[in-house]
Amino acid sequence: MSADLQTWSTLFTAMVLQAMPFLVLGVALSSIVAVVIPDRWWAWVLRRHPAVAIPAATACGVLVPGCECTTVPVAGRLAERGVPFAAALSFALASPALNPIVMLATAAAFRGQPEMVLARFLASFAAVLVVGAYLYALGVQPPPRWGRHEHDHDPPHRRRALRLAAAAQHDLLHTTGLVALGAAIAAMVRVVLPDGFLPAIADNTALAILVMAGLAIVMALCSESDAFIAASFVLLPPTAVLTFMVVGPLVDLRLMIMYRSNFGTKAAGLIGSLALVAAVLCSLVVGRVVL
Amino acid sequence: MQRLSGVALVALGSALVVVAVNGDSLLYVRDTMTWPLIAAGVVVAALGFAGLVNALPIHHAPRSIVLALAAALVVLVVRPGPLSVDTGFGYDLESGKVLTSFTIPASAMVGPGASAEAIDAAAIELHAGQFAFAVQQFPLEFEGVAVRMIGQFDVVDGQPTLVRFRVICCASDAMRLSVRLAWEGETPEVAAWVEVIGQWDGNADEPSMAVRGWKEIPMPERPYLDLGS
Repeated sequence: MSADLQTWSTLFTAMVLQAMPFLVLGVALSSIVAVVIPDRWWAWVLRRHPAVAIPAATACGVLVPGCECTTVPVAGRLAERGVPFAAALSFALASPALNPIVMLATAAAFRGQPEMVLARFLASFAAVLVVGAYLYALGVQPPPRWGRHEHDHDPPHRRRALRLAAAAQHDLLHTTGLVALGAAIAAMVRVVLPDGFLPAIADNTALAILVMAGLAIVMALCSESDAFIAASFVLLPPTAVLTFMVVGPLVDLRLMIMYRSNFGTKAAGLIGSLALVAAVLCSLVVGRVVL
Repeated sequence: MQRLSGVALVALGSALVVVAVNGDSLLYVRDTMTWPLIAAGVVVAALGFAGLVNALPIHHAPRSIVLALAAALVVLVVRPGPLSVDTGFGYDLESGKVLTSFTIPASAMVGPGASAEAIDAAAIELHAGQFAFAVQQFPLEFEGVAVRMIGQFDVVDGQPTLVRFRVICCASDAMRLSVRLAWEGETPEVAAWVEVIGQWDGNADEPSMAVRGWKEIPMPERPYLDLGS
């Protein structure tokens, strides 16, 4: 085995192994949320004036673990039931970006750096609020032809435990493959990049931030595992690493496909561009203050 | 595709359990991950098995599951080794910047120029970070201390060097922690695991360990240094 292939396979294996326990924990909790908490509860919490509903939706996301596979379709479903779209989407963005599992994983990946956990929380929270407020101000409403998620297909008589296991299996199938893809790309980036590349852009914070934002979009990592991959970019400025973790859960290639299938092309484009700008700006500000 | 999904999850879950139980996980992640890996592996395998026996319907098996299967195969079949100095990976970490806390017992103070036998009998095992820290913080006392170090032998710009990868989270964030070696005579091959004994050479600007004895050893069960932070 060549040296590069040996290194790639070691890094790939390390990232997959490190991420899997957190991924399983996150999938289990998000499945519980998807099955146990009825839609009408979300509608009751969020069907209020947007000035209240958007922060409330974001706060719900902080408390409720959910992966993008679950929360984006839930946002569409909530909006169908009368919840302001901006509030519904705020929840969909906040849950994968801010939930306790993500923060736990970030703390584990950045051991001895609690400021990184705080910075991730603050920057993600602010970015979600900004996106929600902008969507409300612009009056964005997706066309009424949203796709449905597999979780909705379960007949009501199915036993709850079975539905829970089925939801967990579905999410695991989706996210495990994506984690493997992200780890493969991240390991390749580490191996293929010339030795001097990361140290070179490390001196240019603006460039490093843009590179990491781009990587977050391309790699499309699960939010419960992205911290472990972010932590591997040890030479980059902390703000650039923070940007990677804030951008990824809000906008990446996989999410763009989900946004489009759930909200239509125009709304997806708007959400994606808004989320990217908000995530980068909030990371910059928070990174400057906290890190 | 449904059956493939079940197979992929069972394979991946089994892989997690196997590498955690047989200790191979220590080549990639820290030892604190052993039990979480076992627990995750059991859950993943159980869900996969449930899919295989049709206890759980799989509505739309995603294509990405092929990647999960590939991950399982890499872990189970390829079983890549740990990071090594001969793969050219890893950025050098300035050893003196590693926060460290340790005490040197009085028994390790054998005095400058002690014999190899005296050093071998009294040596305290340190890593490169502790070595650099001691040189910076208490050079007068450290000059006579007998030191034992374990790592991979490397030659950097013609300079014999002892390297150990330090990880915070897993191998993906590994950095090289190294100490220069003042070495006389035959040297091992690059990347060989060695145990060396010796003392600080007294040079504070470019500190080296004056090697008084060495032997090749098998790769340690835990090849990476886990320094806590």
